[in-house]
Amino acid sequence: MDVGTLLFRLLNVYSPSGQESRLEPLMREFSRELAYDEFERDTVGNYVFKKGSGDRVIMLAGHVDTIPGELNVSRSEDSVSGRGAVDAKGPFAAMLKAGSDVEVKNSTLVVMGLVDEEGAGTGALSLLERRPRIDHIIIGEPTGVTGVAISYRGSLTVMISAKGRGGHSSAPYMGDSALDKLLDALYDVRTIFNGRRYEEETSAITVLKAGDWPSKLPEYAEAIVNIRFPPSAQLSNIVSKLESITSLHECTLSVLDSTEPYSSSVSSPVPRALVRGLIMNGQRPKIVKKTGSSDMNVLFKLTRDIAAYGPGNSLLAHTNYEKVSLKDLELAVRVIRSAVSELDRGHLG
Amino acid sequence: MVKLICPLCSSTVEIPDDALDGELFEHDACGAQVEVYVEEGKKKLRLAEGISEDWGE
Repeated sequence: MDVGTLLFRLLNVYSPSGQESRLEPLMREFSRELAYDEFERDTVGNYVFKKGSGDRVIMLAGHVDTIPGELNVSRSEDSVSGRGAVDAKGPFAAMLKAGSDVEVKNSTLVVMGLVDEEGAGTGALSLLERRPRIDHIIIGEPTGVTGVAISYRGSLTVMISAKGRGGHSSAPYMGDSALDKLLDALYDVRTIFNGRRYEEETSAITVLKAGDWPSKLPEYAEAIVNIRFPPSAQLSNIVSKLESITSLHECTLSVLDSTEPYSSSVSSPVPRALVRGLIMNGQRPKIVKKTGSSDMNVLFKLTRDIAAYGPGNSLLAHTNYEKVSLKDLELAVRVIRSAVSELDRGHLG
Repeated sequence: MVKLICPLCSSTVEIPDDALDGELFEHDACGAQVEVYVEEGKKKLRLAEGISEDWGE
């Protein structure tokens, strides 16, 4: 089975986060058709394909859920389109095909189809709780087929809320507006977390709610703010700064979600194996760092030898134009296959 | 290991014997990203292209 067909079949089963079970019959077919030694669904529903029995454990970790929003699935002479073609069924298809093609002599190869990456990350978190021994991990995410991602930023999502006595809008100086307090706090947040580059702390107000009548000062207001930060920044310091700001403006802070950043060295075995795989396949590799976050932000706690790689233009991820070229898919299969062979040989460290 | 000169800090960098033409490394001492290239049959180092930013979850 060629990788284009594999991806086309995956895309034909719509699987937003929470509905990954819909893929189970297809995954069972894949395990037989691609001749994996073992196949199972683990306790949280992750799909696990295995081959080989060596001591070294190499994991190819993709995710099989997508954001919601079903798209028409199509295949042309040179590309495949549909929800998840870029993020990240394309990279997962390349991993599944490469894992099937490659011969491992010294390693156990595990290809994971993780669940809920676009949600709360249940699939990766459950793996972390079980703490299996893993030596090398390649994360399946779109990196433009010649990129190797070694760094992801951290993410902190908070809710800032405010309460006030309210009042009449004809005399705001006599009232007590919750929205005024919230806006003052948000102004400070935007001033302090005003980065415009990867290495800087950035903020984005993503939800804002206040007010229910044109002439009434709001008695309650809330905002959700997402802060992104580089590996050099400390999550605890960012929370402290936010606490100071919210306290100053009589607001309340709640942390909704947080993800640690991670950065690996280009000299470690997995990035080296991918870089070498690209060179061996006639490509000029580039090292990339991601402004977002992925399962890499969780799975680096299992092994620090980790990098992300895959076909697809990440600018198309989460859009209605998800499409990946067959040429890139096929190249990604060859690169991953070369990288796994290099890691299996064990000469990279 | 082959001992080469870091193009950024001029100190010695040890590169694996099997490094490929175009392979990328980080010089732990100064943090430089370096690229191996071959000139007249000898391995040398130059500064690698800057790391690019890419969005996406």
